[in-house]
Amino acid sequence: MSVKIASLVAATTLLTTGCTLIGAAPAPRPSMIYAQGAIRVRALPGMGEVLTNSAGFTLYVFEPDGHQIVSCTDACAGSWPPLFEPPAGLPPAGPGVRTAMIGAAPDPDGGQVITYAGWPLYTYASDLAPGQANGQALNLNGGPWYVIHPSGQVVEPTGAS
Amino acid sequence: MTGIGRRAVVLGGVGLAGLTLGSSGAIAAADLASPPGRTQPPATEDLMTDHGLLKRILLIYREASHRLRTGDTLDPNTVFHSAQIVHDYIESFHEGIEEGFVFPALLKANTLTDTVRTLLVQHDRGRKITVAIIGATSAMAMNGMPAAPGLRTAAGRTQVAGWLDAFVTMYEPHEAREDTEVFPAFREVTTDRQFALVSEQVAEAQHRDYGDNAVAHFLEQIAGIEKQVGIHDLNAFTPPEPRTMEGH
Repeated sequence: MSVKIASLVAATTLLTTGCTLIGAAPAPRPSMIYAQGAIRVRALPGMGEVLTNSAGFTLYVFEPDGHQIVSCTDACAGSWPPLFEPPAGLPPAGPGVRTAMIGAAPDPDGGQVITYAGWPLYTYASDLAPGQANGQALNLNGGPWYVIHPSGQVVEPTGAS
Repeated sequence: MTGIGRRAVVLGGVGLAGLTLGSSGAIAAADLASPPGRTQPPATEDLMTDHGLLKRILLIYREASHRLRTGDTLDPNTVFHSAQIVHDYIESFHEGIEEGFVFPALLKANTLTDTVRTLLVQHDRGRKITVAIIGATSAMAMNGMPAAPGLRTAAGRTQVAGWLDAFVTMYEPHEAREDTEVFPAFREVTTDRQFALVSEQVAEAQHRDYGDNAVAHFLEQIAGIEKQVGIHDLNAFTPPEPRTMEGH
């Protein structure tokens, strides 16, 4: 089994998103960043209400995931750290977030990535503060990335395919 | 032996040695576990090779920008193809490795934190400039737009030249800073054992995503583009010997 870059990485997120670094044991299995606290909602200019992690960092979905699988691994997961399910189970839903839509999907390299309406959720390494959505509609790592509305609707900009 | 197989061997070696040997002992175990003739280059060496690849694209961008501003002939496909390599490899893989391995290690060690934040902003800015360059120089007519739509007017060509210049201006210091400060600092804060594992993982991921000899393949394409834009002759960059005032 290959070791997951995404898991290693999220220390970028560690500093900036308030996630918890769990299991900081040395290699061979790198540390994994788990969600800490509830999935929340935040209004962003031009996008309306979108999902964020507990620290307010924007969450994204990856179109090639096709609503069901975790396809962003290796270097992709370095740029887009997946939101892993903590050992205690799925995170709670903050106000406006639908508990029934929160789930998890297996990461090919181990662990469970939190999903919403079936979409695996990721943060973006270049979002350096809560309220940023620099990754919105960015085509990278083989497909476009979008923020997601609490209704489960992917927020695509007008004219996006 | 496959990449995974090689890694398993390396992991085995580290597993046996890691707890009892010093850090230099762990890396020695990893080296001994590698098959003869298949020594894994350090991850930082791979990343610096990628920077050389990017530097050659920056030279293409600089020449393309010059031609766009002077009105000299320029095949839009040279810019399009270069930007595609940046998008598909540098921004999708190389930067993902930095964001996945290098930057988190520095942040965790509270080292170069301001630099890392700036580099992350620049990664994002570069990705958006690349998307704009690709859209402006696309070789195919799509969605009712003609081929290379951004180059059809003088204003458009000036705009694309500005994007190329901005990309070059940003990435020259970006990669120089990474080579001289960030990668050495990463090596400093990473144990030999972890560094060996990261190197192995980077090679494995590159092989999985791009196949054998990925960088050589990209360099071959870049060499072809260099020929197209007339900057392939290394000797042409050699200036004449300086002449002092006394020589006149």
